[in-house]
Amino acid sequence: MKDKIITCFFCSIFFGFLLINILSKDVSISTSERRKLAQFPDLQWDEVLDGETMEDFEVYTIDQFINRDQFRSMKNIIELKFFQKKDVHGLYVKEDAIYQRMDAINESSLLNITHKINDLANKFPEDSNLYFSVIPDKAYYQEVFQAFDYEELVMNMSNQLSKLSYIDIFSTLHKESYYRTDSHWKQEKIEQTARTLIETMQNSYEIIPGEWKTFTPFYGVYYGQLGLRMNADELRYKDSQYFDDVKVLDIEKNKYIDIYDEDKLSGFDPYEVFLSGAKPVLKIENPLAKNDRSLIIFRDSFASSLIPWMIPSYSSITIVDTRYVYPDALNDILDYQEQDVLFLYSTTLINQSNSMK
Amino acid sequence: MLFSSITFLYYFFPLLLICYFITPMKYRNHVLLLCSVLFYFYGEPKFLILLILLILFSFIAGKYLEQHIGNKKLLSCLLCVLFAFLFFFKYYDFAIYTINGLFQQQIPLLYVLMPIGISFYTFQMSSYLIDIYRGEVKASKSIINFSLYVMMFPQLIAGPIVRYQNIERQLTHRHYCFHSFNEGMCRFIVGLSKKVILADAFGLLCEELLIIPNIGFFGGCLFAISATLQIYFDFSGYSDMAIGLGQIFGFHLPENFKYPLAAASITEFWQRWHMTLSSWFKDYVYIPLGGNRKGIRRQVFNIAIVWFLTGLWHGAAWNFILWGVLYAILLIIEKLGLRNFLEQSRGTGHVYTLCFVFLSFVIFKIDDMDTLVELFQNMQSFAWSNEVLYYLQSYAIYLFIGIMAAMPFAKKLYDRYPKFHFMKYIVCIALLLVCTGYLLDGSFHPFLYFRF
Repeated sequence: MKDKIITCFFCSIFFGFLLINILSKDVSISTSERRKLAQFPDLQWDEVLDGETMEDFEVYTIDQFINRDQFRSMKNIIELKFFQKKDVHGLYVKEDAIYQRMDAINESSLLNITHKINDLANKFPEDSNLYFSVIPDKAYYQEVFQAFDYEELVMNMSNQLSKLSYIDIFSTLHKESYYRTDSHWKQEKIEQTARTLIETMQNSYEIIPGEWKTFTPFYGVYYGQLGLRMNADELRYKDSQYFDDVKVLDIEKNKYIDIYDEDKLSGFDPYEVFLSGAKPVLKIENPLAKNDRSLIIFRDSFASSLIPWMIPSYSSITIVDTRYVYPDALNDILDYQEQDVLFLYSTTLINQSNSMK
Repeated sequence: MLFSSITFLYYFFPLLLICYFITPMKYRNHVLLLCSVLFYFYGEPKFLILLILLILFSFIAGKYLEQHIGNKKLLSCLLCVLFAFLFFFKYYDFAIYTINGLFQQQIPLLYVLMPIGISFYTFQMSSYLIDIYRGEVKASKSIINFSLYVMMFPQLIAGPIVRYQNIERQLTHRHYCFHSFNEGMCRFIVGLSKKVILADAFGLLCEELLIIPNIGFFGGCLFAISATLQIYFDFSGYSDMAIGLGQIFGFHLPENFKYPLAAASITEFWQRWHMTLSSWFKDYVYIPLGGNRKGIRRQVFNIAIVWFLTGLWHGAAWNFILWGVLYAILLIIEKLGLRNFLEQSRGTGHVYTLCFVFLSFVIFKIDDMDTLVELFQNMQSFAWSNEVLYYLQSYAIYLFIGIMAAMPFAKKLYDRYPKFHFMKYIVCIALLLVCTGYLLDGSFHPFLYFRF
């Protein structure tokens, strides 16, 4: 009798999940992971023979498993609490914030990005003001796994980028400058960073009045990857009537966009509220600037929240993300005349620069 | 399809259970065969035809051979056909690549795809033919039963290698009971846990260690231990799952692992590791070559041949051959007298065995010779790396549990307290749910031995 009961228990688990997964409605998106979830694959004979349908079905069964997020949380809690692993998927939690483990400097990636920066820098006239700066990831301010030598990185880059002047912004930041559940920094904590960059580029930092808007709850990219229960962040951004006259042109789509795209707050990644997220080239014109200086920034996603602080100090800012545009295509877009040029990249991108074209 | 996948656990397996146990006894082999065909088709749609043709070939060949028992030439021809397919799909490109390298040729490679499980089912079918030739078994009269012998999904793609004589009676007479079902289920879940929780964790640790620029001696040792534990839990976990599934459906498949990391000599290690493969090579290669019956020189030669082939069986790459050669050298040295010395001190023997086993699995794990050489060069430094220390701390409990699980402590504890045996069902159900969490969170982790 005991054996029958045990058999029933085993079978009920397998049959139970089978039935629940078949009968439950498929979910289209995962808000915690910020992505679309796989749907039941189309059945086409050639794809079945290729094995493609089976691969798609495997992904579908994982994506649509009932209570998937809870199972993932359970697994990560077991790894962190029972097995006492220091990190899961390269992410670790310290003082209610999630950090990404930074492994040793990837020499080939470093070479790649400095090579690309030099190629772009060489397009500008000799007397252009060329600068570069490194945005430290937040793990720099939280000593848990120090395989990544930040000082060595900056030194290597300075040696490779001899034509450019280095601007140190490490001291303008601290661990509270970053979101707890996301990799990015908070706009309200980086005004000093913007000031340091502008003043080092021999320009005057302009302050404008504005009001802070708050979006909450903001669950950053790390939250979804780890699947643990954590307190949400607040995403704050400073809006101002000053920006009403500022024009931001999306060169790729040839249409004007807002500095703050509030529709993105309800999307997969609310951080995209800043300049609508990933864009190859944006051109910002500021008719209210007190000078006629122009700036080109070659950047990654960190600069999106920084640039609103810099707008009042320049009459025009061109923002280029070479993860989405080939450098040769810029010949028709950029004006390689004498101006301020800033290469601003985070350590995360520098160490994985294969996405740069 | 992997056993350690949501598709298998919560779609294929429960549907198969229903279909199998509601089917009348006399058609259960048909159901199991059909599901095995679907199982193989799911993972390898294009090569299913090849497998079916080889099964038909072996079935007909077996009947023909039975009428010509003792005809060595006939057996040789039939085996050549079987092994020709194995050679082509598994070794052709390796052979051409080697010839091109040695003789400065430029023969084009074909980039042949290898059907999953070809090494296993080729060995199974060849053992069937050899056993018929020897008069040890009668040729199967039922194509369904023979096909099931080869294709039965629990052991089709990664063993254990089953001899026809061991399963012949079970194909027609199987006993079912709830207790056996439950024991099979527990065995399956334990195997699943070994793979999903332990093997994959050690695999990840190996990947993380390999990217450390100056891993040093201690980091290299940690890598060696992790690689060994990954391979052990991956393969023994799969075998446990296969044996457990077999038991659920009324079959008793042979054991494949018997706590090999507790061995006190390399000889003993290979009496405990992948036992069905070792016994296949012993019965079908070593003994026919003369074994130890023709003097010490011939025995050394036979061991060298067997272990060259064993290495080659594991993979079409030089690191596997090197791995096999290492074991050949160790086994020969033990045969020549070292084993007598080791038997006097089991502790010394255990340490000696583990050292060489760890070394061998480093060679086994890294199939790129440049990376292997670089690792050994980096191990010349005895400086502690902060990164290695980080990973050692991060995986300390995994390593502790892994080492304990690789030794027979848990089994001895279990055998000592029978009144707590009921708890294993609770533990198994909990492990199943935990494994489900691991599967849902992880990415794709195929079994290592699938490439064979």
